[in-house]
Amino acid sequence: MTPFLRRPRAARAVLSATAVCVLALAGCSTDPTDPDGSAGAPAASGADTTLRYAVAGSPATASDDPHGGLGNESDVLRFALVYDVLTVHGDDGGAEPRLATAWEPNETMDLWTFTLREDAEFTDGEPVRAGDVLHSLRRIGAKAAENYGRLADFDLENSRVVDEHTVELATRVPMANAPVALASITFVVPEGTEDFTGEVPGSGPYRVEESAADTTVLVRNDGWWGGTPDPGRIEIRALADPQTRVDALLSGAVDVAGSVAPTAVASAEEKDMRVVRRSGVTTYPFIMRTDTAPFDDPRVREAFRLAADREELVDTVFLGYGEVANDLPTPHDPSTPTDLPQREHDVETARELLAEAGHADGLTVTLHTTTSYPGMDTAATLYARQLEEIGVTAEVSVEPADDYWTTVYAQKPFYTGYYGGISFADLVRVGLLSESPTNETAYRSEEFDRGFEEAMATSDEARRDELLADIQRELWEDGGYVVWGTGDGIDLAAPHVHDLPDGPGFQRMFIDRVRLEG
Amino acid sequence: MTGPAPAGIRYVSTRADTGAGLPPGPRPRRRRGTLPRRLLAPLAAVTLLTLVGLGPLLAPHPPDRTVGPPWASPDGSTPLGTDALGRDVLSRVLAGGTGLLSLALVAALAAVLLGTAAGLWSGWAGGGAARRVAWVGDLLLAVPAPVLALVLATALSGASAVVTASVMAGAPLTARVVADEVAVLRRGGWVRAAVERGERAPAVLLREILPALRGLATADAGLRLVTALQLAAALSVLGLGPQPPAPDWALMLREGLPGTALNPAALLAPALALALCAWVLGAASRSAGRTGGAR
Repeated sequence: MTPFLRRPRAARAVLSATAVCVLALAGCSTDPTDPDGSAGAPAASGADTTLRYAVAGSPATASDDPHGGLGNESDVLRFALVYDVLTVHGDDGGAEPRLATAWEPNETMDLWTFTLREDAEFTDGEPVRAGDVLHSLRRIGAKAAENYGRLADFDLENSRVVDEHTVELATRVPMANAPVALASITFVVPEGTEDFTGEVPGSGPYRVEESAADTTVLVRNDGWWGGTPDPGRIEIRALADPQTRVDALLSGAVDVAGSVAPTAVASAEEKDMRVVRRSGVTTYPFIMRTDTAPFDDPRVREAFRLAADREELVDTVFLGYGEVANDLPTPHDPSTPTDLPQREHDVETARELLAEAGHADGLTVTLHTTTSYPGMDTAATLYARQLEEIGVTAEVSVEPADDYWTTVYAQKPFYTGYYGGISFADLVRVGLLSESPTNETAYRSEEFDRGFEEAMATSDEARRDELLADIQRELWEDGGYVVWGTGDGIDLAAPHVHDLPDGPGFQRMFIDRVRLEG
Repeated sequence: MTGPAPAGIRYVSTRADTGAGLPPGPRPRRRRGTLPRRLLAPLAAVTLLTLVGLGPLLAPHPPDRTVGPPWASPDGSTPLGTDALGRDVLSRVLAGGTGLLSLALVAALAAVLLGTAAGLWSGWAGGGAARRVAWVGDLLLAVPAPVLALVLATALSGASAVVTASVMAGAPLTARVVADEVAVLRRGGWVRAAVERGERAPAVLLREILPALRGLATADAGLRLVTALQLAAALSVLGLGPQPPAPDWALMLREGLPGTALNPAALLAPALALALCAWVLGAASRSAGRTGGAR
């Protein structure tokens, strides 16, 4: 027999065994009559409610540094619970207060004053000061190579501490959406912290009690300013394989399985599990480098867009848990124009365009993809078949997930991308400006750059969104994207878990409002 | 006997299993097995190989066409349901063994041919030559075949990696068994007679000794084939073999895994096909080893 066949089964057997042990433990430590728990008592006291969350993550790429790449969801979940952030994403796509209670820009929108709350303190008893915030932001800025220049537009050297609870942040260009750009990722650590191998005090709702390669145990931080979260304990279980997370939930080993494949929904619903759909979460765009033949010809790009049978792609790749998209990379962003006609599946026009571009006899391209996220390979395989109809032979190349994002992404002429709920402005900064660090479509348009700059200098929100919509129209017309649909993010939870966040981005990691009942 | 090799156990079991390569003389009792029983495994193997070879023609649907919704359960027109793209699993299983098995056959054949040649030479020459061949063989065996294949696959194509790794990891084992057998056979009366007649070494090896190794080589080829099949499947599962939309049992394993909750047949069917092939081919070569080898 083949060894790789045995692996999933063995994993499942181990899992079931783990499930039994964990269930037994959970049985001892769950006492619903005392949801608040006893203050500061260790979790083993038997008076706490525990939430066990299976989240994507692999011990091999785990990191303790909250200012680095944030590639592991399990790490982000831990950071979101242990550290405070300046702002979080609101339901409307704007920013909501968290550690920062208020913010105010100057006239030119390139200097922002953030006021911090005064009752936040780290687990070592020290208050959270403006210096801690600036130190943390500067660390994020310094690690630009790891985090794709997340704060590249902030001029952190020229930012300064005004007083204990006020910080002034300078931006390199006018930046009207600065509070959103800072949302959910600005994890604040004590000033001077550079070493994260040991225990680092945080000011978030939980603190780390126990940390191991694949399981982290957090206990409630009773000194947190934001009230008393319901779960007294949160166990974060990092499981790389989505199906393993589902199995862990169905066998009772965990209470929440984060980011699962749509194939898992049917079996979970049979067992009365809660299904949380976060719309517009997953996008697998096909990305064409506009500086490389044959994609340097706009007619070829248009033909490739017309070749996509979007309904078939959404129904197959996301099993219908998603929506058709219109070649705009962030269809759920508040700035996305709604007046553009939906680009339809039009084989005939596509063939004509290819012929005009000199490819009447057909065209052979390689479409790169990987298995990093469920369905990426399926999407590419199906789209390659759809391209056949317009006379394009697309050879699918499934690359190892390990180095796809360094050797294929933003390098090969034609490849499958992934967005997990990024905002339009963020995407523009990291991937669409002429000088972007990872210009994924090799897009160089002065008009686009200028339009974005102007939008970011506009304080009126409606006007700003209109300017951003304009540059998206240009992208719709001329960009290097085939954005055929968005898939729902799907989390599964046991029936007693309520109020899991359902926003598209990192806000799903802020689970301090979750209630356990029944 | 050669040095302390990690694969020594395999070598012993090969001989014990086949019972081949014994010096000519009274054959062991088991030769007297009933005919149908003896031929059962080889017949099954021939049937299976035919089925795999003709599979693409027997497939009810084109293996790369969508015939239903993704992960549909088995029904009338798709007896094994559909896969992630709504393609017919049965058609894909029927079409998905040809490439994998041909690759394994080529790899096994190359390993056995090279190994037998090396074994014949070193077994006949004996002494320093035999020691040198054994030394090189041990060196090659020290590298685990899957690791070797993985490294090769990054430099060469998946297929050439399978062949090269199968040869490097398989040929030394074959060479050992053959060399040992040749060393025994060369003391046999009919071989000595040929030498006395003044026949030259190559002629003796080809005409007198090689035929006596038939059973042993067949049995050994079976083992090499199963190993090569596993290696090819493993590389394919890791994405280093055929690329989508090719129907390929190993690729189907990977593609079928996400849908196990909805249509387990998409995973189980190619898995069973792979397992069945390995089992039947292994059994057939063993029984061929038992019947062959006599003079």
